[in-house]
Amino acid sequence: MSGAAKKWYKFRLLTVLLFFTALFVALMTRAFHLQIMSGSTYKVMAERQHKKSLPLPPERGLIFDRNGEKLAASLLVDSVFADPSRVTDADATASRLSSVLHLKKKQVAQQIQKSKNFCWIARMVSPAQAARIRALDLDGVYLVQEPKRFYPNKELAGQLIGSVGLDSNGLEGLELKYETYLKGETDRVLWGRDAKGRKLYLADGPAEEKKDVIHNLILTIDSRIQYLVESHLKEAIAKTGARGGMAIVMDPKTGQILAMANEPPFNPNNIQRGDTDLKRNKAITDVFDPGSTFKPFLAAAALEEGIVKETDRFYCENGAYRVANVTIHEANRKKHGTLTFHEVLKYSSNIGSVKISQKLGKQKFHQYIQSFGFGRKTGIDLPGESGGLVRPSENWTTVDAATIAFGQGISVTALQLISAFSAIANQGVLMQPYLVQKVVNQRGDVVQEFTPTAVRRVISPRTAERLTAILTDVVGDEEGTGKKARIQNVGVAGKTGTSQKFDFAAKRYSRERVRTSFMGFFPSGNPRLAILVTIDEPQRFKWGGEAAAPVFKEISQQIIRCYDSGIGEVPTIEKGNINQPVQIRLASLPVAAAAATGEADQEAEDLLPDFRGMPLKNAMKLAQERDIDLKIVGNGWAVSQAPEAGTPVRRNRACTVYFTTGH
Amino acid sequence: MPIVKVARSRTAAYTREGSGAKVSSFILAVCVIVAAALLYVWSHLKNTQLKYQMAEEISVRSSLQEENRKLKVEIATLKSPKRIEAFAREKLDMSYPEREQVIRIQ
Repeated sequence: MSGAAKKWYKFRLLTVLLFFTALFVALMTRAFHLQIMSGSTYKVMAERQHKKSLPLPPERGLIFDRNGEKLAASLLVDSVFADPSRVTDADATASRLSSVLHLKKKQVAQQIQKSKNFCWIARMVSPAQAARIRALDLDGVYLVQEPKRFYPNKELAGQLIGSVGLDSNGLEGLELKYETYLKGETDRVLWGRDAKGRKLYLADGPAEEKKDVIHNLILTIDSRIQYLVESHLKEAIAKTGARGGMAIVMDPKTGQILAMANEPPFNPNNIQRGDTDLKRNKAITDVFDPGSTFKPFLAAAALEEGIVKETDRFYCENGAYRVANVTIHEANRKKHGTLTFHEVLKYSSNIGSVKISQKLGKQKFHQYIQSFGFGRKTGIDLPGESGGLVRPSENWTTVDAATIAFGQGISVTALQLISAFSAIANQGVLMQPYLVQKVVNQRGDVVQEFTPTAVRRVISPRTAERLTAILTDVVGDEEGTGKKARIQNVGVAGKTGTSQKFDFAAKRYSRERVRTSFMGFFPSGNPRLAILVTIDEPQRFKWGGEAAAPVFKEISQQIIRCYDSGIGEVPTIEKGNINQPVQIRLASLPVAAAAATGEADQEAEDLLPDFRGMPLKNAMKLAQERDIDLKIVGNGWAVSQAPEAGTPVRRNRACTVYFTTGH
Repeated sequence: MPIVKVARSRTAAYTREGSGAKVSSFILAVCVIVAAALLYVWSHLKNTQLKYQMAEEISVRSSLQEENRKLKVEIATLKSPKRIEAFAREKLDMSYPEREQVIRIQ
């Protein structure tokens, strides 16, 4: 190679080297700029493209009855919406949508022709309709999933549970009262996505599990008792041709409401179709004159104040007693001569009651009325409760004081009435009624627990006992007004009532339109349940003892036979003595009497306890205390067990308990 | 002189042997690097595939959970006292027990 050629060769080599060096420097500079100087900005931009945050609809909490039966749940259903700016053929789209969704074409066309980017076409459509919309694949029409509330038992406790709106917000009943617990929160989940928009799992993204914000309610309601109360009430309404009715079952010792029924019923699955009046829980919102069911409270006040005793006699004026310018008659125009205090209640004498009231004095009477909780809200955990109407005693005329003695001229709610009556059953202590036992999270841990709350002592245990004896005679005696509520072998204390409704047009009490009631508790020696039945404007059987008392009897008997064998109206038979004559033990025998023989404790020890409704921890504790070999299935709170509660555990001390979180 | 010759030829032989070993080492190193690079790429590919698979599985799980919820609501609907009573009365010809028919056995 010549010298010139060598030089040319070196020059070319150097040029290439310089070119690539410059290129390398440029690349490195750019890389430095991208990675180091603007790295964080580009990282954010890249993440925005690679990651997609999808909203998760809020999951509303579930509602269970005391036995773990589901009363309300939410499911995801499809809703149809459109982006009008992306709709290509508005007329054809409207036509297709209207035929699938059964909507008017004009209405759909108006929606999709709006100058907006979003409009609802139909909310919460059926799965079949959603599938057809998906198959049509219309431009600018999309489906989105939204939670919809379902009430599996339909009308059962409809007014009590309440309902939710289209946006899953509580509108009425427990759904509204416990909205803060039930509503859940909208959550977002982060997904990765590729260039084609396909989903990619992100290891560093938030977990797809929703936060632990879902709270479920466990009620005091027993859906089985609720059902039988509703069905018997319905039958009674049909039989008497009445306008409606209410019934409440309450545990007098705790204030727990086991059933609260209104007739006609309301199905919260169809909120748009339901009449507004049907949605109202009349047992707490509507006030009425209690009629003769108010007499036990007058009697309680009189006994407590010591102004009367059972044998005191009152002249009942042969059925007509003039107070100021008004003549007071007995119900059904009966004529009583002289009655003892005991008989005044047994025969439900209006005139006798007026005379007791006059002896008691209006201030004292008013004081006891308030003490029993009338005139103010009971504080039950439901919205819209009415406090009733009790005027101050200073405003009572002589006639007012007389008529209030037999329950006219005072307004109370059904719940106030049964709560006050339960105070008599609970040895004189007024309990606050309540509907929710506890709020639990998804794992079944108790978030909040509601326990029985004593409001105040109204009367002494001795007065309550004396009054219970009189009220047991009202039902148990052949001449008592409540004899149709009698249950064989079970002591029932109760009181009938029939009140005339006020005719606002005529400005006087109507003779035709009445409300009949019966309230009672049993077993009278050791009350377990208090029940109130009221029937509004019956066309036949217009007296409380005829219309409402049999309903009370039917409900009570069925509860005893089917659900609460602890009360037991039939004898208990030892397995080995099935064919032997047995000694019948009265079911109303007080527990104390049974315990004296050591029988009650032995019985409780030998029977399998009821684990249902307990969280895992409590169930394990109880099993340990009772030396039961507990087999746990699932987690959360107990919903069922095998063998059932009450099964003898002498030989086999094993029990399988099934737990659920409800999800 | 012959000693010098021998020494030169040995040096050449050593040089040739050293160059062969270097080439082998270089090839081995390249192979290792390529294998490591392939392994790295494969692991990334596998990781991406698993991410797709996991996303798919999570979607399936969500839909199954929703299906499970629907079935639970359906169970609750089927267990409603109204339906069971109607079924027991109409199909099974049952009725509520009378007082005498209920006997508790201990």
